[in-house]
Amino acid sequence: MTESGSTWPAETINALVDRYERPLLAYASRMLGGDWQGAQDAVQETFLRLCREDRQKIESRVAAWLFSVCRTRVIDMQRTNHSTPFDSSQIAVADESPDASEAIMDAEDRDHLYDLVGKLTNRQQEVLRLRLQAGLSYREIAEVTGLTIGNVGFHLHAAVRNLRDSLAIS
Amino acid sequence: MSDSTWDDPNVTAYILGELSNDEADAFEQRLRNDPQLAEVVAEARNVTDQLQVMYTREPSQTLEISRREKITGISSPTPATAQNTKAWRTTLIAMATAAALLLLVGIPSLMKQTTKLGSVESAVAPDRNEGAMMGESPIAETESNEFSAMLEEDMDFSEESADSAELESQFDAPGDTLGGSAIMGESKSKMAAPGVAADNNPLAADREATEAGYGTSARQQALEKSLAVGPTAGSGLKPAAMAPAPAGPASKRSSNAKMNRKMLAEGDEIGALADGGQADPFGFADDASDDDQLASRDKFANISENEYKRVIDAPLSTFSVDVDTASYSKVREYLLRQNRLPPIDAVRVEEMVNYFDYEYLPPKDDADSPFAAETDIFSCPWNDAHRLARIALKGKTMKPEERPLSNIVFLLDTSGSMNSANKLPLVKKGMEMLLTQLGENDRVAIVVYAGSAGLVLDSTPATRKRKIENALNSLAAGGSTNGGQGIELAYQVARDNFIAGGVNRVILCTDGDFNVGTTNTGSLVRMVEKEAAGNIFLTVLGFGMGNHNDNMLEQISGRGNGNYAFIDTDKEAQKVLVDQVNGTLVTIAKDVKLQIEFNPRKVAAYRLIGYENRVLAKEDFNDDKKDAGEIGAGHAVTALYELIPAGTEDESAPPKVDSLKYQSPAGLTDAANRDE
Repeated sequence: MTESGSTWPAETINALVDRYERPLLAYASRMLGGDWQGAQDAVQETFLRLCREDRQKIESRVAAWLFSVCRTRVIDMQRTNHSTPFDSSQIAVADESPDASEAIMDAEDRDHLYDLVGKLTNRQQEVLRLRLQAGLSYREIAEVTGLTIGNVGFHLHAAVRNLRDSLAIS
Repeated sequence: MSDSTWDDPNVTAYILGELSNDEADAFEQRLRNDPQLAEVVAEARNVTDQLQVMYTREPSQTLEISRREKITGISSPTPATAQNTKAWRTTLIAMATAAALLLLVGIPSLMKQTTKLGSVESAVAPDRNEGAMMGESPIAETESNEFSAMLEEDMDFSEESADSAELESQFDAPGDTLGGSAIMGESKSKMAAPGVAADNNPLAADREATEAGYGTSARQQALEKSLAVGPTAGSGLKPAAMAPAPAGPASKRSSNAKMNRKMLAEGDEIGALADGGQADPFGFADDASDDDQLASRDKFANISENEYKRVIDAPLSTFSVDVDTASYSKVREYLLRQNRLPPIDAVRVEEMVNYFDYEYLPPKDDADSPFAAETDIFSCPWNDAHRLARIALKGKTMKPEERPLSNIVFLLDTSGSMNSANKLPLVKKGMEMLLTQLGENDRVAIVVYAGSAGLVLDSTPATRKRKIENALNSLAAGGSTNGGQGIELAYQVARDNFIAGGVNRVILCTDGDFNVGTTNTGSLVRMVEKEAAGNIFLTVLGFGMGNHNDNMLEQISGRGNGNYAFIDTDKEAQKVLVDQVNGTLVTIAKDVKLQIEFNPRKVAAYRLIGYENRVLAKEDFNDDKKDAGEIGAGHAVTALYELIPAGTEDESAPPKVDSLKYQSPAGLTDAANRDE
């Protein structure tokens, strides 16, 4: 293949950003404990790397690639953050602002389930989000998280089971 | 429930579609033999469904504009393509509202004569530089008011709510009015049919200027025009929303317009108002098909737009009318709450048009027929050379005290998937609203279905409100759905309390997720049809997004002689269950079919806008066994045709068929030349 075959046309990048920016931001933001600016940084960096990456190498598995790069980036950020001194100006405030009427209508029942999901282990929350929000397959989740496929299935099922139990109680 | 059944991770893998075909087959085998496992699967599915909804609803963010520009700046040397999705989404909503307003106001006011374009100019011109010079010239009078379209109605109703009322509109109107426009042309020594359009539309020059400036595609001309019509129609569109986005490379824009055309749901030209409106600012921002995979298991039947037909080959156009409105509220839900474009097949144009009230006059109280009909021809806002024909029917209205006794059975879906604020609680609210409309002689029963079907409230006079409210309050969502059983029970209850000559109706409230038991659409449809023959009709109210089976609901309501509405908010519930309660409950005509004959002298080709799945063969018109749509009290139906006037050469018309060897072509009757 020629050189041009391995670069990304602008339309493709645009389409990929449109397709993945929301789930990636949600994923990164969750892993960073709601740090909205941090999530923006991580996702931006992820896409920038994508542009530099050889297209042929990753085109067939671009979803998994994006999430695993984003994940690595987030983990790196967490490490650096720990080593820097506390600076209150750096603390981002999450700006999750749905429109008011929607917030009222949905708040009640969403919050309940949301809270329950928040009580799951981090691992379970992560696989749930990757599967149900980002739409990754077990195989892709395994690639992103470094778990085995069987392990992914196990964690997901455990998460569903836990939620079912806590929903039944409440 | 045994916990060991829950130990198998395949349960979740099965629900999420992660098992290989062999594994899935084996699992289903087990499922059939093991009721406990089936229960576990249903519960787990309930959890994943709720999670899916939760994640869909989660407030989501997009990248900041500057960041996105950085990314696109790297990938392409021309950063002109960098876009801010968020801003577009807002614009999109504005556009959608505008489009809706257009549908609402545009049509009637297009038919009024002499609307000044001054407001258009002020709104549009700032962004179009010198283009809009034609501001002060009035839109030429549209023909409609000049010529009273003759509508010959041949209505034959044995009784008022006649079974199988057929409305035969021997409709020469297109011929008439178009003929009319020709006459007008002569008498004012102006305007032959194709010419009318150009004269009619002072915007033409405006658009040419725009074209010169931006090199926009033909598609976009139509859009700009339709935008321009907006304020004329008094919709108060904000200039900002209308301003075309700064021009990108021309070729790019036109290809985008095409892409949007494809992905945007309209399928139909009337939709071009909405469609065009969105195409421009939305650009290549979104890839709806990708989004769809992500978020939703909503199912829609495929819609393919009606084609043009030559009048010579097919002078009769026959279709069945009905006044479902679900599609509009559904699309609204997509645009306003999910910030996404609806899937193409979610948009049924006729439902968009019929959603709104155009204040048609109902028939007089002493009129013989339960309908008033109205027809009009006016210029086609997206194609100067074409015409739009509007055919409107208005059913007679009914005062609350005239409404016959009602025997209503609510069939409520209380499965786990209904457990969200815009579903079951909204159902309850809607029912409470409806109760206020019912009197002492009306009876209400409530059947629920979830894992198992049950009678929550046996048929009770509507005045015993306390009892009914208690029953309502005891409802809670849980378990999976067996639509089949519930619907059987509901019909059973309705039959037991049948009121001869009254309203007997099952009202199904569901999110349409029939996931256990008889989920076969075909067998449900057959049952519903059988009951409709026994005069128990079905109304379907759809709730909520996520796993809405639009196709099935539209089908069963159509076959069940009922109507189908989608309820997304309190207001919509108010509209369907209070303001239009008579239309929802009382059917004044069953199997309403419309047949329209076009005069080939005047009309070269025509295209029915919307009603794609309701087109009938011309023979069906006189075949009373053919099921067709129903019209409720006070309902109005509007059908639009796009016409290509005779004498216009138009590439969108289908090619001619070679003439027959063994038959001579049928000649025109004298009537064809008489402009009647």
